[in-house]
Amino acid sequence: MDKFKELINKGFTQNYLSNDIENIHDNLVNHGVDLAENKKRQDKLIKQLKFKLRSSINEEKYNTLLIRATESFQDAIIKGLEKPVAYLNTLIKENRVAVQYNKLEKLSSEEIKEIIKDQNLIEIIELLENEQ
Amino acid sequence: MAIASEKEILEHIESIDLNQLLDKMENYVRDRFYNKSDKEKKGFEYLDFCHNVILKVCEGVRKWDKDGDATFEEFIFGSLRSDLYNYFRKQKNNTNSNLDEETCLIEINEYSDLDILESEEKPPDLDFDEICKDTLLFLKEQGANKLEIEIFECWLEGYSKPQEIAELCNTNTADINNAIKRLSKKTVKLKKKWISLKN
Repeated sequence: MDKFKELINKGFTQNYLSNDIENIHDNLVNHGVDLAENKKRQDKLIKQLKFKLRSSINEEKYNTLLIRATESFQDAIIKGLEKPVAYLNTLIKENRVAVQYNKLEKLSSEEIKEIIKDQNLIEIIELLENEQ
Repeated sequence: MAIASEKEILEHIESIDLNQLLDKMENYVRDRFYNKSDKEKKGFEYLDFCHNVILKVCEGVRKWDKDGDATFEEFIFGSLRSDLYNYFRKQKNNTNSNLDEETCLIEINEYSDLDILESEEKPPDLDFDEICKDTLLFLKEQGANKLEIEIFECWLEGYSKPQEIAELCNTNTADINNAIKRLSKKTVKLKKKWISLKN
């Protein structure tokens, strides 16, 4: 019975999914749809969908960069690399970020993220990689 | 299983004609609602149902297996079918009404791919050939014409795309489309028959 139902179901579905677009448009017109007007609404939705996806992808990329830059800073602090440490101190001063400890070694990853979040992360990563 | 990432979904969306897919989806949704009042849409537009399905796929609520059997479009359509089934079922539950036979006009078996109904009692294990024979006879009794019977036979042989069926039946896709619409109405009693087989 399942095989039979599956075949019939597929037949009905494919009639909607794979039918010639002219037939689909004829059906829509028969339903009273203004195709031109409909396209405008679709275009708006498509634009929103793409925007949402791009934002989400960019956010993911940004978070990956932020984690990478933070880890590199932590590594640089442990190694006592001069330039990155000086750079981080400058950022703390410039941004007037309230950090709990005076010693950079004690900064948590969340605090480092807070300090560097509005900076050009790619530049920071490049700087840190050049120093290491 | 290889779930498509957001980036891959975006690439896919940009590579297909999304307007055409939305047209196909809306056509389907409208047919599913054809006997419903505006009240049953609960303020939604037909396009909203389509948009919500694509949004769910984009947000990862519904996960597309890019290496699976279903193409992106087939996956979207399956999700739409499933969403609508759930929507109507919820409405039925809310109104506590009996099975509305008109709802089943388009799909003979909407729930075959829904997890929630997997636990339902399985129908008797009937012989495939016997069911096909029985159904064809049933459709003839319902007044199905030659083309409708031929389409049904094509489905049973595994042909499902309108273009290949049109070629096999020596006609065009518009005729196939209209015949399938008529065929869908004749399957209402078939659905009822299957339900009675389950009980």
